[in-house]
Amino acid sequence: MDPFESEIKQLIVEALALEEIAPEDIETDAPLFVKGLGLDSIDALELAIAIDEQFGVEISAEDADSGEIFASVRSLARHVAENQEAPSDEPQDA
Amino acid sequence: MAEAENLPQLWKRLGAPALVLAYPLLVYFGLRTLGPLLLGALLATAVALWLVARLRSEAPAPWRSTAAPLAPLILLVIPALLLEEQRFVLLYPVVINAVLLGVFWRSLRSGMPIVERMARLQDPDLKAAEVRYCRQITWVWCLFFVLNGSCAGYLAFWGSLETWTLYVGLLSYLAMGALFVVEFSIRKVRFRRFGDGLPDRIAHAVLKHGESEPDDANEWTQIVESGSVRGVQFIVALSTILGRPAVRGLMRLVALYYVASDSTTRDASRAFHRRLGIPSGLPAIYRNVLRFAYNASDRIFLLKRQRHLFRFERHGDELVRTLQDQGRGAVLIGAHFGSFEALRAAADDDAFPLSIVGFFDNAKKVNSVLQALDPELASQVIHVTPDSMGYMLEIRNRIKRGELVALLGDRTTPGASSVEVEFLGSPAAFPTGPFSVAAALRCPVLLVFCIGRDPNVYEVHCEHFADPLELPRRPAEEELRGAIQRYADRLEHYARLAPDNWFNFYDLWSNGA
Repeated sequence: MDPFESEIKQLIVEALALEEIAPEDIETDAPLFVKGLGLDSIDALELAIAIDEQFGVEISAEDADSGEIFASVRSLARHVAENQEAPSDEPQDA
Repeated sequence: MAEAENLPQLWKRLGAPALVLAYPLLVYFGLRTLGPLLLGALLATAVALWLVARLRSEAPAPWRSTAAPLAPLILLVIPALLLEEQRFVLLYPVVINAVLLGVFWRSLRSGMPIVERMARLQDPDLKAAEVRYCRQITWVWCLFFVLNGSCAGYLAFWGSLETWTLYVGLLSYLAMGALFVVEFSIRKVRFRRFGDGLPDRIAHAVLKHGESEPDDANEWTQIVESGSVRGVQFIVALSTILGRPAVRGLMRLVALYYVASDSTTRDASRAFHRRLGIPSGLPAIYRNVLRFAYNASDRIFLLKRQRHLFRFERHGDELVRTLQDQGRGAVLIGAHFGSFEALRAAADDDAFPLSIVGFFDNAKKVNSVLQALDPELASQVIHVTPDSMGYMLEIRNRIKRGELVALLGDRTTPGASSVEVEFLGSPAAFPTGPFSVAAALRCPVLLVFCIGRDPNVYEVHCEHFADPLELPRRPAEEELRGAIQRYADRLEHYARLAPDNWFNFYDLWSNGA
């Protein structure tokens, strides 16, 4: 499993204050918004801010609208991996 | 033989209308050359011929429709001849206008308005908006008959025979024709219903140019919009030609029209003034609608960067300046109160990078007209797209870059979350979205209101709201209410300063419950 994926799950629970959900409960491929976790657009904003603060990856409006970045934890992790300025040693894909 | 029979037939069919239409000229030349006695005899002969033709026809037309225009003629001509007073003959157009006024007026009081009845001849299936429109136009014709009849009456008594003839024989027909053509054009632009007649085909050819056929789902918004695109283009062109003072004059007429015709706006404005506890009569409503019209027309001059036409009075701009000097972005929360275009212009003067967030999709075409005036407009607007979240990130990224992003905090949308706070003495629903966004961004939050004043002043009021807006994640209604109440209190303060700048023309207090 991509280490970003578990970090992002942790981030989702913390940044969005999802008290009743544990990071490991979030399915990597489950949709985050509307269905699945049922997050709204303000959650998306919070999550984008948290991702920027933690990984230094800014998500642009175009990326958010056109790509599938917010589709699932997996797609978020891939985006972070592809756009991090100082690539780490960790594997790029799961 | 056939022709000999056709002439009375023709006279029966067209005699009455021809006599009515040609009446002014007949009277003019009759009185000048024949004198009242011979003219009377001539008119009597014409009426007699018409009666004979009618009696001899095998299928007589209904009496009322053909006899109606001639009865007053006989009633006026006889005393004119007996008393040798030609003024009676000149009153005929007044009687005709009075009769038409009576017919149109009665159709408004009971039964179906005349204009609607005529519209249904072309297509019996009318939409509710068209029925409303037909009623308004019937009113317009009533007004026309009053004015036209008054002019004819005035000239009959106090004008010379020549001016009377010029007016009733030519000018009033031209006025009638102009009213008809203008109304026909408005009707075609608004409702886009085209028959097979030549004028309809011409109208269709002109109007379909460059436009796609609207589909059913958003037919109405498109129709309304295409109408308003033309309206906006017209006003933009007019503004360029006439300049701001003339456009302001025009806006007074527009406001008058809206106050007279739009009861929803009128009721909303009245209700708002009542809540403020200030006079809520028609003058106050007119000032309110007029301010809205001024505001809309000023947008054109502001977008064209004719800022020398305006004077900006700034209050609290040092707050923004300080933030800008520190390289910090901020959320500005405003309202549908005063002018956002003027705010944009004031910020631009100060070289403050300001974007405005809003729903602009339902006026895309109108916006494209305005955007042509100022290409930069596009980059300074963030469109809210309810189905995606890109716009949220756009807000965030701009603030991160140190820019200012303005949100409107006073209008709830169906389905969006809202809370009730006290506003002007009663609970009213305000949206939570703008405040949740401001809290999530953890940046300075300011309130901005830009009040329009006569003749050309825009007062920009900027004040501190929070830095940052501290709300817990997933705030309870109570926690949001505190912040929103503070906003509502400030909005109330400014609304009291300039009630005419209040542009929420709906009942704010009915939404929440």
